[in-house]
Amino acid sequence: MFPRFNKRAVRVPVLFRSRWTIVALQTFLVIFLAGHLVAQPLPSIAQSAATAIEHRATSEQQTAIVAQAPPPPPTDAPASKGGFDLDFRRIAPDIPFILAGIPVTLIFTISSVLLGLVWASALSLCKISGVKPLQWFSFFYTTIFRGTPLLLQLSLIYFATPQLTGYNITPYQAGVLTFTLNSGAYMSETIRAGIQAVDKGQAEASLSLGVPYWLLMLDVIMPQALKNILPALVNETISLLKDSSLVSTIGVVEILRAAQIVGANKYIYFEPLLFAGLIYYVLVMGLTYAASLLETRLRRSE
Amino acid sequence: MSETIIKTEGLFKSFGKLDVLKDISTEIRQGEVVAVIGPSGCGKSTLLRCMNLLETPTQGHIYFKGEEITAPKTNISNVRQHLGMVFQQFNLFPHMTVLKNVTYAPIKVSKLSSDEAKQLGMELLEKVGLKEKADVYPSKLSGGQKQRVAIARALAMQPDVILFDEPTSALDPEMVQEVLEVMKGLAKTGMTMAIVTHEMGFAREVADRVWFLNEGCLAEDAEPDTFFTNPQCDRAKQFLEKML
Repeated sequence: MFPRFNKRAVRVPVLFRSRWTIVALQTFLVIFLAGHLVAQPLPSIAQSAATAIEHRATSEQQTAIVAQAPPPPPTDAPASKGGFDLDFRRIAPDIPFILAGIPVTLIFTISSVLLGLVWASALSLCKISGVKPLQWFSFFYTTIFRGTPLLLQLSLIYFATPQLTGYNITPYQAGVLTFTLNSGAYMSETIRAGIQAVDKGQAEASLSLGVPYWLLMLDVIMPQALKNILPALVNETISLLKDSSLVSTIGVVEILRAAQIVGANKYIYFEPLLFAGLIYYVLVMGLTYAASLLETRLRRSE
Repeated sequence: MSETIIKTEGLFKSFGKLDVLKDISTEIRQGEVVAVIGPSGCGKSTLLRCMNLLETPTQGHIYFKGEEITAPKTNISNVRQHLGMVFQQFNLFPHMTVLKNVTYAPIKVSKLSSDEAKQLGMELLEKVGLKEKADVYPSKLSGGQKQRVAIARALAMQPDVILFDEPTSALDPEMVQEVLEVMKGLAKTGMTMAIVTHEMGFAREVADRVWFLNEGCLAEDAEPDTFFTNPQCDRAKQFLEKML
């Protein structure tokens, strides 16, 4: 009934041919709009809207509307009087402070992902090992770290470690340790699934060549497993990037906390938080792009 | 004659309640080519897989060059370096090029230097007729080419015996010949081989002995000419009628 949409017949504009151009376009639009708002604050738009309402309201039946139109705010108003009154110029001096949170967030995310991957691989090997105590331990471990809130785990590790062991754990160490242990639990299930999805014949072929078990895991099974589970690992990394904002509860100033501090200082909440959201968005897009490059490279053998 | 390479004694293998191998006692001597044939489900592949301990026998002993490999303290990885195997589904490593597939085990296990391994690899690939495919990934090869690479990979470890588990069953008829040619060449060089196959013509031409398995038992063990013209047991007669 309906003709099939023939993509080849329709000339798709260059700008929309690849999903990465679309993402770049989105990012550009968001930044452009935000910059536009800095250049021309909305109050002046509200002012011109009020003037337009006034003009229309000069007709006899609309005098009531005129009385209700909001008065145009003064041109360089420092504080918002309510309404959609965005002005990024007000937080412009604090932007470097918020941007300084980026390295902090990235350090937490990258260290936790790398360490977490190693730990998760070890755990998943325990799960498939067939040695009962190891299997029992890794199962129990996974249920604990998946069954309690991350914030709880973070607070416990940061506040309880000095109490239990006398070692004054720094917020950085506590944060990286908690994220490693937590994401290790989640990723171990993903890696286990990836390992079990690799064809059994691969292990058999390696064994029949005389390759010992640990070497075949490292060189034959794991590369194939990781290629399959890369999207799931990227998901986990992105979650970690956003969960890293929880370290603000143990005193580390990262992107979100910095935005909250700026907001609390000036009683302007929307702009700094929106800016922080923008930073997270750009970071996640960057991460996703890097992951797609990695995936392309891994898939060159296909 | 020549020394015994593999010997099985009273080999039993069950998977749960299913008895696949029942009391197999046999041996393969050096330089022999043994064709293992029989109806489906009779345990041919299981027998081969028991020989390099990919399956652990439920009962019985297996000896490789005089040493018992079913003994608990055996370092099976060391044993397997001398026992090559070629699989029905090729099982090439998809994330490595053809040359890397062939040289992986010599470098990592036999500890050859990468130059020696590369030279050995190229010689073997030339022997199987795939020298120009050395830097190609396995996904780009046809089935026959993949199996030839698998044979080169098994040969790279310079084994004493190669086990072939239905090497041509997954190939279409055009490609079967190219693989059989390679195997014939290998047999002529004096390599000890045990081949599970349905290619009766090949078995008749190349094999020194034929083992006929039926329901887990070694029903007949004879020279190919004797077996194919005058089989002893009834099941073998039935089988050959259907096959030829």
